[in-house]
Amino acid sequence: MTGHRILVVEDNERNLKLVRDVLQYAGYDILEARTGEQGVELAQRSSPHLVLMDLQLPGIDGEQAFRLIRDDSRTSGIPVVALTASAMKDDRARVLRAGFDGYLEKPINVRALPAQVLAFLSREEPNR
Amino acid sequence: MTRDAHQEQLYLAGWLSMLAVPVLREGKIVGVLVVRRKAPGGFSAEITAMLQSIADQSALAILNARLFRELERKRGELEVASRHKSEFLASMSHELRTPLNAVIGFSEVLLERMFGDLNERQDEYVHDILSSGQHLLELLSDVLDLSKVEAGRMDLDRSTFAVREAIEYSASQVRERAAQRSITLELDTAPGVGRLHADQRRIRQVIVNLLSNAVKFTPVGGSITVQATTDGTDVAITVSDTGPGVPVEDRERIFESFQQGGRGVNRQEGTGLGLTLSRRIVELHGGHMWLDSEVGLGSTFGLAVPLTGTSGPGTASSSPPRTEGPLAVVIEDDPGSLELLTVYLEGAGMAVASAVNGADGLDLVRRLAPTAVLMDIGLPDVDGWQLISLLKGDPGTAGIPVLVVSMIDDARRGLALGASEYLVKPVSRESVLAALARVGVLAMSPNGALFVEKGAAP
Repeated sequence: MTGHRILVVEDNERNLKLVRDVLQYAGYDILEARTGEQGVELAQRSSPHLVLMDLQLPGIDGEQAFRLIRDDSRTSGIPVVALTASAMKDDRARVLRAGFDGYLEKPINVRALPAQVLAFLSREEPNR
Repeated sequence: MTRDAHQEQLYLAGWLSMLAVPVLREGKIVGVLVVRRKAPGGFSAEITAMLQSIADQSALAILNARLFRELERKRGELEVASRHKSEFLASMSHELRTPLNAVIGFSEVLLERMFGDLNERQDEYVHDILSSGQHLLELLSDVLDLSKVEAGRMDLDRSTFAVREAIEYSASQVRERAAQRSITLELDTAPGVGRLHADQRRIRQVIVNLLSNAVKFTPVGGSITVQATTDGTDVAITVSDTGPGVPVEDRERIFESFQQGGRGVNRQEGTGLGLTLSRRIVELHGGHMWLDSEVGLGSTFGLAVPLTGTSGPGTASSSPPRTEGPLAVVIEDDPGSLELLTVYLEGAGMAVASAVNGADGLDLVRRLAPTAVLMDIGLPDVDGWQLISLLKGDPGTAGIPVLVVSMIDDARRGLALGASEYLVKPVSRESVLAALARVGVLAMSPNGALFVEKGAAP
């Protein structure tokens, strides 16, 4: 339906499946990465329209992966949204200061997720 | 008289008599007091007795010093153990939260019928799974907070805020639950109670906790009163209910972890950590909590925190700017959105003053004449449309660009009323800053970065 490619970087298999299934159901194409390195590589190769990035990842963490995506001219224009745990309230301000385009709190709201993703996509487009 | 090598040395140095008194502990020599004289002859009984008593005292002093050192060492060990425990809890609760996200998420997928229908029984069970998952999640976040406090790692993010507003916000969190049980909720802030310099989010958390408990334990048709008073040193906030009360023997215990006391029927609800956490948070602020209760009549939970650093009495629910730079006034009642916009704006080098309702917002804009106004449409007092008209209709404020940031997707109406920009939530940092650039508050650098334009300050 929307045809947008969304890259989901998440190391927990079930949470990855959840985000993937919900977004696929809403008509998005999903790319999956299970580590930060994989995410960076896939972002460069497939230029997704949006990256959803978990923060706690094995190897390089979400913030470092975000930096690599932002600092590479091939991927610097791709909006990156952090997935943060809602209990970690201090994370939010940190994520925004780091320069992420926004954040979505975990547990994700299944009903709202497709619309939230769409909102991030349409916020970014006019400026790019 | 024979002399050993030691005595020989002393004799040659002119020492002719010597008295040695052993320092004894439990019959064992732990030291010796020695007195030497250059005159020959014995020591008097008084001197011997006095030295004996000094030796006894010394033995005690040495013992005490050793015990003290031992105690210090034990305390250090305990502190390390307690810190390890807290670190363990913090990482555990993260590990536990991850699978819970899946439990909650997939339950919601099923309840949304994304992949097919459920029968009534299945729907009920999935609801049970979802609400259990959510309860567990709350429990975990309390555990995490508590472990943070106990590890000394809960940092207070102090700001100056109106006490009345914190109470109103907290009340709004439980109003629906209270209404469902026909419980009346009364808020009473004494006239002298103004602002408090404290961690607003944490203080709200404490008040919400006390209110949730009160709602839980107050019978249908009862009432809850929140009062705020000040004696000039502390601000005291009390939450009184008409619940069953707390028996004397439970009054201290319910502040301890996992103790809910014998208060009524809904024992299984809640985490049993709320009061412990509340007390710790209040203590971190240098305050204290207490409980007055009469069995059968009700309970009053109170907290008092020092007014330190308050900017004097004031009742406006608005915050002054915190940093230098061109000023933006943000009018937004949702704390999350307000925090987000503040981070975006301050990140771009702007100063932010905020108000959580239209009346205070209007007042702030008139007083501060900011370079831009960012406002929500859904405000608690006036509607945002009306506020745009007021701002645009007043010659003193008509020239200030208004940027609407709202869930309500009606740009046409906003722009028609005179707003310069209309953004629909959720908004990204880029979109907010780009909008500010379009109205001329921020400048766009050649590489696309946004920054504060020199001379843009009011």
